[in-house]
Amino acid sequence: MNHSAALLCAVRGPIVLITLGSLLTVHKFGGMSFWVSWPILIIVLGVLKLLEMMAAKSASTGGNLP
Amino acid sequence: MRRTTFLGPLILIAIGVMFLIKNIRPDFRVFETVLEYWPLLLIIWGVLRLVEVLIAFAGGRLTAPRPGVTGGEWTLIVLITIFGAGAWGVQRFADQIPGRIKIGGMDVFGETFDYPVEAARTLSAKPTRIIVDNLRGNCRVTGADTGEIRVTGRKMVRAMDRSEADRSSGEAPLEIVEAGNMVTVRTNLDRGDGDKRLSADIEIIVPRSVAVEARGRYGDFDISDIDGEVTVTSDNAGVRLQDIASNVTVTLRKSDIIRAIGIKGNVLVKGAGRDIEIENVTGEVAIDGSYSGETSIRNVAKPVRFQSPVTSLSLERVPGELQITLANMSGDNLVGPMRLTTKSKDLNFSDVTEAVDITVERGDVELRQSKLPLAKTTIQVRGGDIELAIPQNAKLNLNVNTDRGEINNDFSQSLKMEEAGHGGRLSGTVGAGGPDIRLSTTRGEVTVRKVAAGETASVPEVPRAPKLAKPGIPPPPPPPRAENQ
Repeated sequence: MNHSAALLCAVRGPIVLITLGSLLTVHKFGGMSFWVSWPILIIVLGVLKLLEMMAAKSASTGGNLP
Repeated sequence: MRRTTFLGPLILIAIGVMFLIKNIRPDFRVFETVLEYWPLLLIIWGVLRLVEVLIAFAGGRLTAPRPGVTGGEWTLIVLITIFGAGAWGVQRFADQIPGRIKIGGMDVFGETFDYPVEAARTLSAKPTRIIVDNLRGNCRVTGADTGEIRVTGRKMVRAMDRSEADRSSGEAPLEIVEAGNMVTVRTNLDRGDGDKRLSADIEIIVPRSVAVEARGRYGDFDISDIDGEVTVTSDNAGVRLQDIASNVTVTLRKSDIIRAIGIKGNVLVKGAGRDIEIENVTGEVAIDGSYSGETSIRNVAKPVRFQSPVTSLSLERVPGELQITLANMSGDNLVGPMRLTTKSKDLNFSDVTEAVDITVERGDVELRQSKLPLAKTTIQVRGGDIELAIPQNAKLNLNVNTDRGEINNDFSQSLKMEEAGHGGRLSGTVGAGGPDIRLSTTRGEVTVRKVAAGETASVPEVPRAPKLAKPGIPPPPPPPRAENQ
């Protein structure tokens, strides 16, 4: 079983949630407007997906087969 | 197996603590604080979930991929975000309203303190122009046979206490400034940092001969008995003008009513709003903008032009009355040439002299001409019925066309009817021949009938005559019409 892929899948939601909360907090307190910064959410999601795929790939080529 | 989570109990504890604080310390703004800082809840939520995942991973319990935040939680997060963003929006809107209305804040609605306003100035030179600058509040300007400017009224200050109100009021003194032939009356409500809490209702008496330029952001303008030009510019105002002996220009971004009665000059109305009422104007009337209520124009001696995103109308004069709403336009006793293009309206006109050119995309058109001679008339409709009522002894060359619909006419004896597909054509000469009358609809019924004695625009719409199965057969006479306006 690929534990790294499972971990990355599980942390994806919390990390996106933390990012969303952070962007809205920054928006509220006069920093970058959320209407400007929202693409960061997509970037974070993309990076996490990428890491997940890389982890899954390394697991399938890493000799974990029976 | 269902995973264990400590988020649910924590939420329950947090809600309980919030209510407890509210009960023990009512002055502590706990709910307002939550409304203000709700994105931090999302961060805490995410961190808790992350900690849970990491603990599970460290304990070797994270064996299969599973989402760290479930679908139900995402739904709740979206709802919280929408609600929270809405609360921010409401709060920001409330901050802009005079009186510092804060949602749930300590200073909900504040308190209003009134200050009388009074100033007078005898003018050294005869002024030609008076500028009235009152940012918020109602303003009445009246012309009189006087050599001075007199301002009376009251200033309203919303504040938490009298001293704060005194300070704000002191920062915004009423001024009458004379510079050459120009006099400026200003309330200075924009001075100071608390300008949103100030408004002033003032009444100004000015020499009748001057031109008046009134500016504001919010509040009504009522201007009467002025011989010079009148210009009103505001973001949001109701404007009432009466007995102005020169041109009038009203530019508003928003308005509930614009009323101009007894104007001996041109009237130009620009912007957006709801109702417009224009009556007894000796000059031209031009309305250019977007108005959602009812526009009523009566007794205008010079050309009238109405331009909106969906309607374009020009007329030479309006001795009678013209009314325009979102869905209807009606007019009685109008002098053309009349040129009208509109998208979706039912039209109902009577007694339009000179040429008539109407193009409608969707809507029924009814034109009653009780007077002779007729003039060139072209009515084109894409989807809707056309009804033309003309005197029995009218002389005209008629050309009617419908691509899909029936044609009814009272003058069948002299006209040639052709059926074509689902529609038909009717053409020929009525009387000894005369101006071209062209009626054309893509989809709809066309009726050409004789006007009944005494029939006018104020006569209401009644059910149409029953449709005939076959075109070409004269319809029964229309039923008697009843008053409806």
